[in-house]
Amino acid sequence: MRTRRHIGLGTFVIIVIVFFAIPLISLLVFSFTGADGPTIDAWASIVENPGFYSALGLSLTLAVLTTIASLILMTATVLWVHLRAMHLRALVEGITLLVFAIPAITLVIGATGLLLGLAPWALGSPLILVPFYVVLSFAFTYRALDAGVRAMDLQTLVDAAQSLGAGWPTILLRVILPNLRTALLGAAFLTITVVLGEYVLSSLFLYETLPVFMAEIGTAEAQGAAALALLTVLFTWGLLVLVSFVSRRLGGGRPQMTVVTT
Amino acid sequence: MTTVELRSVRKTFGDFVALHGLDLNMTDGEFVSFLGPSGCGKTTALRIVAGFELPDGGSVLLDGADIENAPPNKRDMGMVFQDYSLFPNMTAIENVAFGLRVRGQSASQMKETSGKMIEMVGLKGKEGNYPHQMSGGQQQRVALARALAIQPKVLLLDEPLSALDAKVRVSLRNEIRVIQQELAISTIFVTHDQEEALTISDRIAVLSQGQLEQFGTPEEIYRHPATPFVAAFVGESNIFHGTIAGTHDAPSVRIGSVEIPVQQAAGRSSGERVRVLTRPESTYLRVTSEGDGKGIPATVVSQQFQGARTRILTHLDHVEDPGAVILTDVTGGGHDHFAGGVRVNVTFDPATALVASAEELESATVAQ
Repeated sequence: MRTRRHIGLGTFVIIVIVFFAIPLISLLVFSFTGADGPTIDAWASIVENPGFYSALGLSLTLAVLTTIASLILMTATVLWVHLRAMHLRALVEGITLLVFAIPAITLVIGATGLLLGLAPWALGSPLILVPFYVVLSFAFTYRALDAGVRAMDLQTLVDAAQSLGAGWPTILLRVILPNLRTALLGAAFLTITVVLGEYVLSSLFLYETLPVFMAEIGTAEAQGAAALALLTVLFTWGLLVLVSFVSRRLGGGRPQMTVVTT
Repeated sequence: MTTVELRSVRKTFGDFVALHGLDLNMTDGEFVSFLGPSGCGKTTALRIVAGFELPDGGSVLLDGADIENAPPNKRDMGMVFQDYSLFPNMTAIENVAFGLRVRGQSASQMKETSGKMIEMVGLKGKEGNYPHQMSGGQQQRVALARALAIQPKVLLLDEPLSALDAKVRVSLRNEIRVIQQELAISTIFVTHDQEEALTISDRIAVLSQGQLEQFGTPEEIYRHPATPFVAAFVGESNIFHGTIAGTHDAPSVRIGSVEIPVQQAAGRSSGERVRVLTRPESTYLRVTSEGDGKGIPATVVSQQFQGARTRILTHLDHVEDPGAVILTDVTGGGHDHFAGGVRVNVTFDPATALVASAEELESATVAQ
């Protein structure tokens, strides 16, 4: 019985690996394919293209700014909901999902019309993408942080800290955030992946982020686009590994669970 | 010296009235328990004292000064919660030192005070353990040490033993009482466990449906319950059905054919149907072949040996109490004459009996 279960589980794992591995291997092989056999031309052309570095730089800048803005906004929101407005939790959850119901083009046209009247200068900077990316990452950041807050008894920890004389800055920095770090890292990871993969908004606003650059390369040089796509996937995976590592290191001060007696 | 006074404290949550104007005062170094069933308002009262809830009316006075506007972190009160509430990212010693760090103590002061507190609660050697590496009892000891480390004016304990197993609960409650007496710190202890409250309190405030039923020493609460609720909630009670009889100066209750003088019946109208509540240890039996007019005729059902005492169960002949079981506790040995089927007369100590109307008793039972 156990052997049969092991075989079933093994088959499932193999299918999953194949499902993910085949496209990536295909990308890798294709990126090294040339008219006269294997070549590194596609990779070389990316590395030599100055547009790649500016697109990468812009995407990373946007990712960092979006992550900071998103974490500040969503941490404050989640804490407020859990401490002061639990009855609004469903509403806030609904709001975070709203973006999926609004087509990107609608969002851009509406926002552009508004900004042209109020602050036309804002449209001249790629940083205009940050608030849109923050909205796009709402659903992911909110859920990651909400799960983190639910895992700890927030209200009691806050009460305990207050009864010991702590004010809000101390409670936030020494009690809440240290216990939310894994959730914060998870939320940051999700936000970065959203930004690095977002194409529609940046192309509509006419800014060349990494996905836009990738699409442009793809129209002229398919192998180059494949190489870039692979790079992006590897970068995201690297980030995931880094988040897990940092998360484990931050929590590493705690000794492993031991058997205890009263 | 620290005194705490609650004056007409009211609190509502929507339509639910949690406290109906609670008046209560505790003296310096006193251990007061708030005792009552779930939803009686005891935790709300404690949270109002701590500053976590604001009263809708009334005031809380600490050493005579109104502290309504003081936030929880300025009230100088240490609190221990039901579910430990240790900071998971800190070791035991770091948890204990947290309040001291907030107060800006030097590292050496913090180390010394925290070490003393950890030792006081019997956790020397566990300083470096994280909460997840400690048992519930150990975590609650750390929480106690943490609350005491800041030398609070008042110690607030919100059902701190509820999450612990029975053995740990008993030992920790004794430790809490010893430490509280050593430090002579004014303490409010919230519990729904009457045994806990009776065992460690100087005084007990029994609450029901947001109202103070009785505030007194454990002995007063047990021996002289002021209301049917207290009689029914604290300890066990026998209930006799009767009718008010006698004169205004010498009130009595007629139970079946027997009239028993009960001072508690004073002020009630003659003929009013009432219930008389008595404790098993204040209820007595006498073997008799026939009624003598001085006791309520009954038949022994069975005996239960309970160690230091023997509990005897009887059925009254009285038609108003069909099937009512009367409990009588007798100490010492040699109770063979109270064997099953033996005819007895039941009496009780009129000084400790409580008289209530059927409606009062019913509402007290519902409140539980």
